Amino acid sequence: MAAALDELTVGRSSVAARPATSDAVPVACAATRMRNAWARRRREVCVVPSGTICRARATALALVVAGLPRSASAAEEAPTLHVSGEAPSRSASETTRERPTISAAPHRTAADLLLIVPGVFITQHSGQGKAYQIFYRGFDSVHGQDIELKVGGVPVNEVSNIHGQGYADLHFVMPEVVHRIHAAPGSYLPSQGDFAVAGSISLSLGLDEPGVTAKASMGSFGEHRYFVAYHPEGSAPTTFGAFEAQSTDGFGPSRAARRTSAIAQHVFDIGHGLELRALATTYAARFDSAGVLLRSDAERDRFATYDPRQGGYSSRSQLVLDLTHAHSESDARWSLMPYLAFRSLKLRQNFTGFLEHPTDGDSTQQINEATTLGGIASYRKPLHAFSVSDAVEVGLSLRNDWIEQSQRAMGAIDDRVLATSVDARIRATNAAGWIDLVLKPVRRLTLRGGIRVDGLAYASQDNAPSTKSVRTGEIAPTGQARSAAGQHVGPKLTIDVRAIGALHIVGSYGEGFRSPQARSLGEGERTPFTTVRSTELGVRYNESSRVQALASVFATWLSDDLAFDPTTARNERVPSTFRRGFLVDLVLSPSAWFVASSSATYTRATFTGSDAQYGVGDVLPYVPQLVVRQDVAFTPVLGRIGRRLVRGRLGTGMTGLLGRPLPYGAYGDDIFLVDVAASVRVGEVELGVDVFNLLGARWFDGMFVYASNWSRGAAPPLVPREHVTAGAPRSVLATLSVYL
Amino acid sequence: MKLEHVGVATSMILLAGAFGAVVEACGGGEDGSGTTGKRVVLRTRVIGDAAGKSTFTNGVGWSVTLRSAYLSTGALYYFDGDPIFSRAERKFDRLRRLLLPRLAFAHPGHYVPGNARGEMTVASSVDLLSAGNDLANGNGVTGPYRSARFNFGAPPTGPFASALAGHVVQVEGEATSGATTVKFKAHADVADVLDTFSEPKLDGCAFKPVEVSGDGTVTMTVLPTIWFDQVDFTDVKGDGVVDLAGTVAFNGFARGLKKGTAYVFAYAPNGQ
Repeated sequence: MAAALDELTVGRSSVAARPATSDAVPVACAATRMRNAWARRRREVCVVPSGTICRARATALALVVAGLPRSASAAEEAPTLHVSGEAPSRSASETTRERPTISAAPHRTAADLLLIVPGVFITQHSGQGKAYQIFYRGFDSVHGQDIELKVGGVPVNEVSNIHGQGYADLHFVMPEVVHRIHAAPGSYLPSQGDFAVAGSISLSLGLDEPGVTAKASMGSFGEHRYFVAYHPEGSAPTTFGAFEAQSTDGFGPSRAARRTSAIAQHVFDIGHGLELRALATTYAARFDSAGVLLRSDAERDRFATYDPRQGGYSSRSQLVLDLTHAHSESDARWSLMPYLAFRSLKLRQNFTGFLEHPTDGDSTQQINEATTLGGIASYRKPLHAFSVSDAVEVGLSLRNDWIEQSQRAMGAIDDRVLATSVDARIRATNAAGWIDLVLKPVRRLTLRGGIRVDGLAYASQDNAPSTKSVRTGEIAPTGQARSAAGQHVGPKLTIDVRAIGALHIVGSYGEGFRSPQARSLGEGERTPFTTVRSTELGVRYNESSRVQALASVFATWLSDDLAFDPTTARNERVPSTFRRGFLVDLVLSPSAWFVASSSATYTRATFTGSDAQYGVGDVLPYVPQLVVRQDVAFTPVLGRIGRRLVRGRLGTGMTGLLGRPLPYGAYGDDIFLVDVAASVRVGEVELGVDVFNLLGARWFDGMFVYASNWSRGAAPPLVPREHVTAGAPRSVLATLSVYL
Repeated sequence: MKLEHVGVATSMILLAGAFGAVVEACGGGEDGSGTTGKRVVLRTRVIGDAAGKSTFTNGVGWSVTLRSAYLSTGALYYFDGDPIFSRAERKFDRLRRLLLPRLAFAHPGHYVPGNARGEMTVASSVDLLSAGNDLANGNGVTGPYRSARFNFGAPPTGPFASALAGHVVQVEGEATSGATTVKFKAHADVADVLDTFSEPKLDGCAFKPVEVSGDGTVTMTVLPTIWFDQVDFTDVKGDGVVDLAGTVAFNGFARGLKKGTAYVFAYAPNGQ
């Protein structure tokens, strides 16, 4: 009992129609009637028919069950309600942001929401439709290479995408339907798989607002957005449907974008502890891109473009079925989640002007078509070795990707296809298994850990004609079929000591890996994994939902690394690196109408190995060193008009980035951005205004150093120069919302 | 919110700060202050070699004295790759030569420029018989400099553009062999100096190996002695100053212009 109570004081939980993650612990709660209200309450204690205490820790979001009958007879008639809670943290810096924090500041896309995760900074350097570039705790994850992203439990990262390994486009998710963001830095969880180098971020889907929600928005630069959603009354937030259509002319030439998306998720209670979650999404976007500018040119006209033909198309459609079974008596559970995703990406870009092709230009067209079939399964059962908290979980992950991709040089003037440098078909297979143990040998000590084994295999055939790069002299073979395979074994361990009250000291160690681009592998090569070793030590304090605080110091070693090479203008393998830093995070929610979330993450990434280009101790370029973020929201009830409540909302999101090292000893510009949202809701109608970049900061969201030549026929500068992409200026978006 | 919550939060922030300080203290000792390398400003000078300014004897026995020599210069690039046919002696090279079979090169080429370290992209024109010609400042980054690319400037520009009269090279002089003296003038157009990529450039020129660590001056020394090394004036006939255009001698001259060894680069840090 003591152990169970202990669990109650740590972490947070939410009430849902089904367990949301494999770590979730289902509990059946009885109630004769339930209001469809989801509100913040503290220390809700669920009463279950068996009379045991819920092992799910109810702290952050809890069900408001008004008038719950406490009698056994009433409970017998009650419908079954499943409460899902998060597993205890695997590291001191693991964080979860709930809906109040997520919705504090204005956000245009779900990817934009990543900013609220401590240590994350994002940029969008090629148009509103291309995946964001994500920086996370000392890693330049590019478009997802080093960060495992999941939405609704399904991996988003694309294996061996032509534009970049792990390409993760989150534009298919509307910010309104992101119910929770869980960030697990490092590689301390056995369930973390490919791409979890810097860590993993998982977006859970759900919609709180019952009934129908309809929004129409209009804003700066010709932006229009329409959002329609429903969430059946009486059902959990996880059952909803949502649609979005958005268009903009963009804040400068070649920045127009249009997208449309639909998501439907339903949770079916099959009975006998079985639940089925069905998730279907589809999304498509067409976007223009202004591309890069030389820093010197951007100082004169930030929003200009050298090549107005840049842009792309992106689409994603997927179907997910998630079947879970929770045994109410034994507390064992299993889950099986197959998924099928179709992805399409077409990019037209020109980063180097006329450097490679002085007459025709260096415009390239990249196409990536992928079909992904995969599944995640797990079985968890209690062990009762030392305490009732002890448990073991066995998990499986399987994934197959069929990919067709090409890269062609295009004439900048007449759109002719000048050459084909990639015309490949790839089959990628990733099968993984893990075992995860939770043991509580003594009262204040919890050990969590396990081991994960990944097997990855690739087969590729590139039918592009043999070409020789003008600059690098590399020759690509034609038609050669290659295959490679390898395994990685990653141990994980977390030691959690409850010090005083809700204060925990948590130490973690984990080993992960970075997988390679399939086309980079030679025939028969053992897949050359980059070994990632992460460790951290910190303290967590979680006094219900009112105060959550953590501080941690962390370190990560990579056996080799990737960095944007100023000579080849792409990510190249570089010597081993070391990252160290610390994180402070504080979430305050002293009342139902106020929430504040603040974090600061400092990271220093340096080389521990050397080669002809880099020396030991040199700072890794491009990785932001200090990232700060604050989200504050006031949501008071202002009064009543007739019988209708009047609610106000004022929220801000502040992002700061200091210290962006660039090659050759330079540092990029610091960034400080403030976004503000304000709205008033009277009953079913709400009018709101979002202001992005309130202070009108003139900032560059992307900074790159490489050689380019933007003067056709002129002597090409070959020494790397600074290129930038302009950050968005101040913009306003007004929204009329109707709730029916 | 209880006061103790604020206290705990404050303590944790202070604790994190202490953690950070410890981390910095533990790992900061061997760290540099920034990323690898730095940018440098490279002054650029072009001079003719001393031998070319006086009478020299070429490879076929003619004594040549130049009266004027103008060159139209284009962009200059400096790389960390070894120049064609030569590279700096590296560790254990001698031992390697003793123990291992040596590589044989069946034909010219094999030049891999490597990374561009510096450049000067402003076209100009120079007088090779003058004391020296200052070109525009170039820029670069620190690191090894081992080879260079020279571009002829076409059309000519700069202070001696009129003397070049649209050509990329204009020379005038006198060649003597025994009792025969030939007064000549020669000019080369861009078509005469094209490489295999049809570009008026010379790849793989020698850059005296150096580790550039700061601002300095890159000097390109042009060796007209190489230009004329295989020029045989025997068949050059005529009175007065004879234009070599269309003669066998011109072919030798044009070949000489395209020899990478006729353009040698060196770097000197500021103050030297």
